[in-house]
Amino acid sequence: MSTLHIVSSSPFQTHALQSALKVVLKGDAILLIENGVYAAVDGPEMAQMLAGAADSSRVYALEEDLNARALPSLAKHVIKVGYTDFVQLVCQHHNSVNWS
Amino acid sequence: MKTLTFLARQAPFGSSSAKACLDMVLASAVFEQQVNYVFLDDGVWQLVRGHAPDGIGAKNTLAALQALELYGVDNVYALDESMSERQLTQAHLQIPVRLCTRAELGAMINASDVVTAL
Amino acid sequence: MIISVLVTGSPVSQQAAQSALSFCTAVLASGHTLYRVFFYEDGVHTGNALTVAPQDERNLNTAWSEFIQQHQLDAVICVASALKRGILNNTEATRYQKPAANLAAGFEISGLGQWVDACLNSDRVVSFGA
Repeated sequence: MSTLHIVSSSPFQTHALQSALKVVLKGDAILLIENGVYAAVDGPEMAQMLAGAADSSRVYALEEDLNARALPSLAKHVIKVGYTDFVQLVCQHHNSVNWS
Repeated sequence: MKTLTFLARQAPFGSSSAKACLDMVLASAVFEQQVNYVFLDDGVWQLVRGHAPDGIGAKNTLAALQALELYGVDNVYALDESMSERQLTQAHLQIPVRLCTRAELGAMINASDVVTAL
Repeated sequence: MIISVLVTGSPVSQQAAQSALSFCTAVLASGHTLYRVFFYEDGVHTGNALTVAPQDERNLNTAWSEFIQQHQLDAVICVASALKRGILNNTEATRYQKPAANLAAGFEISGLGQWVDACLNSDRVVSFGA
């Protein structure tokens, strides 16, 4: 059984992502939506924070939210997905948590 | 019967989240579901003894927290590191809680049917 | 799959209500069932019929109301959250002697029991929050 952790606030603004990362287990997934997509920016701080999670769980970012915000770069291990994939992820994982 | 886990992450009084989470917990208990009520991040501040919110026109939720037992909500936890970061120990709290680690909380979340974080 | 959605963010001030609508649209397009959408806390503002959006902006409340009616969805506004925030149907407006009712078409006002029921009867429950 696995959990989809949906992170919807910016890691530069809140501790939502940090808290989610404390409880992420191997096989879980992280989906960045809304301002949460700022965690996908390609930089040493965010890369370090997310890379640890990426070893044991996939990290996704919602394309519509990324496009809206025009991030200068996207970290390599972050997978872009659309709303249809979002639905698939919800079905694929046993449950979800919204970290806002 | 399903297992519904609630993550209370916000401090009391600054927003309506604390009471909103509590109301969901009580509704779930009334409908006889298996409930886990977990306080983490600033949510642990909700548990502190001695709240006196009259001066800010707010209601004290501690009476409701004390009634959790009567509602059959026995699984009340606080994340250990959220407590220690804020210099809190069980002695500061109004109701008894079980401390849990990150790993234990991760496992609890994983094993739940529905998880709601407020 | 049978999916229910919880919305706790306010439609203008946060993105939650928009994300939830896009998600719900994709749920139906993917062939899944939406059992219930439950609006709680500031999410109840989505059910306000009196909102007026600028000409060049989308009225999210109208979009939700139309979406719910088009697909005949079960959309519940939590009574406790709604009363506090002044989202009233005719019954509540009369009961509390308020000058007007403002609940948009397609929404019904009910209690948290409906959310618990959604948890029991859905395969997945997804939250969109503040």
